[in-house]
Amino acid sequence: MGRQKDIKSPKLLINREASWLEFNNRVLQEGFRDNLPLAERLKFLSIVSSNLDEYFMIRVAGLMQQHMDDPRTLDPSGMTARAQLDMINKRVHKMVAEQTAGIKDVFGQLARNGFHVLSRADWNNEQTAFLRQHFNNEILPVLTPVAIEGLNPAPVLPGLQLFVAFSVSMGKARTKIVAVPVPGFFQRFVNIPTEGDTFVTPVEEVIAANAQTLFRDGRIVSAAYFRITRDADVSIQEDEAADLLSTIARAVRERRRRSAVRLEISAGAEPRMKRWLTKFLQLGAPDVYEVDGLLGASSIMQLVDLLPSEELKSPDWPEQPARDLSDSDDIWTTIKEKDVLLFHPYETFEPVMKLVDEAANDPNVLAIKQTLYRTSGKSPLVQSLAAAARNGKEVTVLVELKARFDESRNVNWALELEDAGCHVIYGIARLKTHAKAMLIIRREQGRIKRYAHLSTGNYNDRTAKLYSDIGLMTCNPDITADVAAFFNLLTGQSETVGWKQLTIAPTNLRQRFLDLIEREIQASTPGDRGLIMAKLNALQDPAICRALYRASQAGVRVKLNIRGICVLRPGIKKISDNIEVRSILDRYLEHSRIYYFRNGGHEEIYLSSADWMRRNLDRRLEILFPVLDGRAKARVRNMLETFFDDNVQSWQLLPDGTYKRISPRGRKIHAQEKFYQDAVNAASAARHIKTRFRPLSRPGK
Amino acid sequence: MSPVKKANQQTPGIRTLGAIDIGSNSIRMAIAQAMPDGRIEILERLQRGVRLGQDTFRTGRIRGTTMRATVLILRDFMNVLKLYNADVVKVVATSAAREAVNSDAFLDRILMATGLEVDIISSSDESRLTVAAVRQEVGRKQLAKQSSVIVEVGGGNTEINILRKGQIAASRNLAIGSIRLQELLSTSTQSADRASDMIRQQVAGIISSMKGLLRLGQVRSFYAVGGDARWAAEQVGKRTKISNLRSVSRRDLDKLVSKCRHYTADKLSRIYGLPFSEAETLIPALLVYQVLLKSTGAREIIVSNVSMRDGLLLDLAQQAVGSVEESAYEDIIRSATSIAEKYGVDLKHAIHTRQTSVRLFDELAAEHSLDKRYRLLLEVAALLHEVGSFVSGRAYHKHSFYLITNSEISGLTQDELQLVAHIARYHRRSRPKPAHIEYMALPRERRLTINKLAALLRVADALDASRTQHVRNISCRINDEYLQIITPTTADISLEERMLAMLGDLFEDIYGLQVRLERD
Repeated sequence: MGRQKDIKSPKLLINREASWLEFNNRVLQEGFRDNLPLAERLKFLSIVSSNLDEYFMIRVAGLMQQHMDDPRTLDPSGMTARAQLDMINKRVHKMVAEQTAGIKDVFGQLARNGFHVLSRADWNNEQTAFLRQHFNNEILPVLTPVAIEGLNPAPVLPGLQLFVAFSVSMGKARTKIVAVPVPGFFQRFVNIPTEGDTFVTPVEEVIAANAQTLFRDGRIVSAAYFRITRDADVSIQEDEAADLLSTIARAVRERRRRSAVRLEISAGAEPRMKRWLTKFLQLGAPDVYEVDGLLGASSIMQLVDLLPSEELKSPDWPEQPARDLSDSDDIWTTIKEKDVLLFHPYETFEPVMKLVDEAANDPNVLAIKQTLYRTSGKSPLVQSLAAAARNGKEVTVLVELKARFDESRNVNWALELEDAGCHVIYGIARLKTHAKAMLIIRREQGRIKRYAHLSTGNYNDRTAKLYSDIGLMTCNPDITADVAAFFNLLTGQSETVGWKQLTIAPTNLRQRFLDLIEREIQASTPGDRGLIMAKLNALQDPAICRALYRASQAGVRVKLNIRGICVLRPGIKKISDNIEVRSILDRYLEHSRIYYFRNGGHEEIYLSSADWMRRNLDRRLEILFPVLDGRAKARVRNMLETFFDDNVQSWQLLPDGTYKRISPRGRKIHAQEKFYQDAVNAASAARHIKTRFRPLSRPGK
Repeated sequence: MSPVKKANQQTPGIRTLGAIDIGSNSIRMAIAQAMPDGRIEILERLQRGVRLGQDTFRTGRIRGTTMRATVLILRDFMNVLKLYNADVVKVVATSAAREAVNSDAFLDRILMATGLEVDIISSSDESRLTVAAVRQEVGRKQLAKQSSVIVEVGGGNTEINILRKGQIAASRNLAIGSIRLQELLSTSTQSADRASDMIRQQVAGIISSMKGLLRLGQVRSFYAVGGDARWAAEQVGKRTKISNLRSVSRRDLDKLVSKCRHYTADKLSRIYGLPFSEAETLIPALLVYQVLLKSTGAREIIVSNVSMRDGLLLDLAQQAVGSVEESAYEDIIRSATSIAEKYGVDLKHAIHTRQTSVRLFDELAAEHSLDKRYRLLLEVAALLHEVGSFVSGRAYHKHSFYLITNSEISGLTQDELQLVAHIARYHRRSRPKPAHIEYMALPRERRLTINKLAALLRVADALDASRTQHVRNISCRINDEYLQIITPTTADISLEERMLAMLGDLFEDIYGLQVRLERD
């Protein structure tokens, strides 16, 4: 069986890091598009940096660790950790240079539109004087210089913090390096009040220009900016952790002192300073990134709000009322009549919060159960759940403390909920709870009715405005029974008892996907070919890739729309010639996961919290749920087609692992804009229906 | 925000029920709501592994740690029940608890720690409940089409129920269970193949010894319930016309068994995501199904998702709604009548006494305020009150007591059977006294019920003292002092009058009424 052997070759898998770098490159390329409003370009250029920050903290840190522990291990594509690190370094150096050029280009165009981002050299006398004043009044009082050279023990320089470093000559003694952290609570850009045009300048330049007052006994010889990225891949040894809450708090504190993985430093920094910092942080030369522009460029996002003219921004797309709901109707009745599909952020996230809030105050509601993962700061959801508990309902909340970078914030809500009387579960040992599920148990005329909300996105009202996700409210008894069983599993109250409609990771989600793909292979004939369509954030699981190769070999058409990493190589003869991979990058982050199987005409559509990644399938609690309601199913099917029809914001993956922008031939189809327009049309149609005249009967009758 | 009161309005007719089953491998719970029309809607199913069977079948007793684990699980389950404000909760335990020498201590421990009263149910009850659940799911008509067998391989026992024309024709409880067999496997040093052959031979031996009795060869439909069969159906099952049923052909079962039997329990649990406790007993259970299937004329196993718990829920629902399902009622009466026949009682008298006591029960409903279930128990007691005379005519009521206690009437719980035995015991001679040990061992409330019912039976028995069934079509009149029993008969009823004067004593004490028999 030569075929079987073929699809197992590591050459058939794209390296995951290479694929991620491709993804970030696509984000970067959006920053260069002339036909995008400047504000949109700024956002993309900013995201390039925030992506890289997280990437270095987790992936690069992990690879460095692996290189130390286990230098010979090969990844599924056949590369060692060292080889991958080298590839990343090379690629990121180039990427950063490009990004810097992109930012300069956008700044230049902004200047032509009356918005000037000045650097120190651009300041005129008046501006210099204003900024000195500003420095003395606002900045100086909160600056804390740290002498970092020659101190024992060496001070800890926290990660992701922007520093201004000075080489200071102290009389006859040698020069010393002193670092001044730029306080995080400052806006990154200082506004210089002027009539007419807008002028802003980076705060670190204001510090650098005026810092001499900090060193009464010394003289500044040179200044530079730098920024450290540290390993943040904290893995908590849960079995040893008697108290998970305090362990997490400690782990978050310790993250500050974890080893450095990257140093960014401004171009033209004094070589001695650069050498010293590199050595101090125990980094190699390739880990040092010289930036001929802004460091920590993710903060250029702040400029978007400062732009004076709406013309520089994309037209606002206000969120619309959900088409499956209307204000006047009782939400319980609506859900009983039909499944409610919510497509965020085109449709508002409000109904989800309202559902929990109504449940909290509804005397008929007996219990609410919910998972919380990355919930926003003062989330109304948390408030509603606490209120529900105070109102005497049984409230069970799973707060996932292990949601990366959110640990410390999560600890706070958890305590708040516990105080209110909620039964709080702090995640599941060794598994991250990524599934998004909510269950409401209600007694209606003596009869128990259950309502479930399942979603591809987190219960976070803030990200629900930026991430594109699909949620489903249903009272289908098979689904609600499964959701109840899911919570029993989470709370340890029961083992798995057999699922009616849901599939759960890590129990058997991978197997389920493999079975669904296999079924498609079996059902496919030359006259009636099978079809798999999937929209997801990442495809990295080798077993799924191989199953898809087999499907392609069997003549099944496979259409994938994957925003981020995809390690599958499409379009390889006799292996994957029936597979097509697209990627959409647009103003909303594509976050929904939709899985479609033609199933010989009996189409099945599923939504999920899980991507096709090993971590989703093996180390997380995830849910795959079917869309059963005919209308909802047809709607999701349409969405899927629109994603694949898009020719404005889509890219195509080529067999060599690179991506090519899809260029519109004929009519332009812009998926996100179409979804927005559809939502607007549906909402105005609903408004139209509502203005009906109701004749009154004769008074007194 | 003002605290909102928890909803607690109840609509008559809809009841939320919980059924918990303490089995040999795990404790399971089903929560359901019973609709006024008797329909049952399952809300939740829960399951937690705790290995009572390992304890009982290996050492004979349930260990302290296992008891603690049981209590913790039951507490968790009660928390889930609390969510639904369940109206009725029934907890039963099967063979592992039944056979443990310290089962009383076990039940006490649960009562003390959780407040839950556990009923140990007999294997015949298990059968009845399982059959009722399958009957409900498969449909009465479908089940009556051909000769069928309903099999559940449990941890301790294998239940085999043969149905002909939809009625239970024979039930056997074999002491072959997956845990017992797994014990055998784990202590043998044989290869996996040899070990499974050993199991096959042992099972085949037991089955062939009762071939004549069960007549498995005539069976055309093979229904299986239980987790192991469900697992097999998930792997290789096909859908059937009835939505919740799946079928596994002989061939597919054979293939599955030969694929899996080399796996260790650890590997099985990893590959299939099974709890370890289930993985361990999976293969022995499938081997039993395999052997059984081959000795029938069925071509496939039809796997049902229901279990004894669903039967329990049906029972609870019927009790909650206040009706005994027609066929279950008839099964019980039929079964009691055939026991009466077996012991050669005067059936005419027995049946007449049954009719008279039911009449009295209904007429006096306001006085005794007992529900329909007790009416049934009184009927059974009336049918069986003389079975003791089979042993000896002297003090035969005492023989009736132990014969009834040791009978099996499928449909009655052990407790109910005890009650029946007591009613029968006091149908003549001595009234309940503190010197009667079995009687005094019962809680006060039970004793009162026995008095109420035995009083009726004594009157009913007296009314046919001549064994001529002359006193019939009675009607009753009740005033402050008297219960007047009026009969249209013209026959001589002096014997009845005299007996009534003697046996009416208990009635007078309990109901505060003198009994008078009068002609119309």
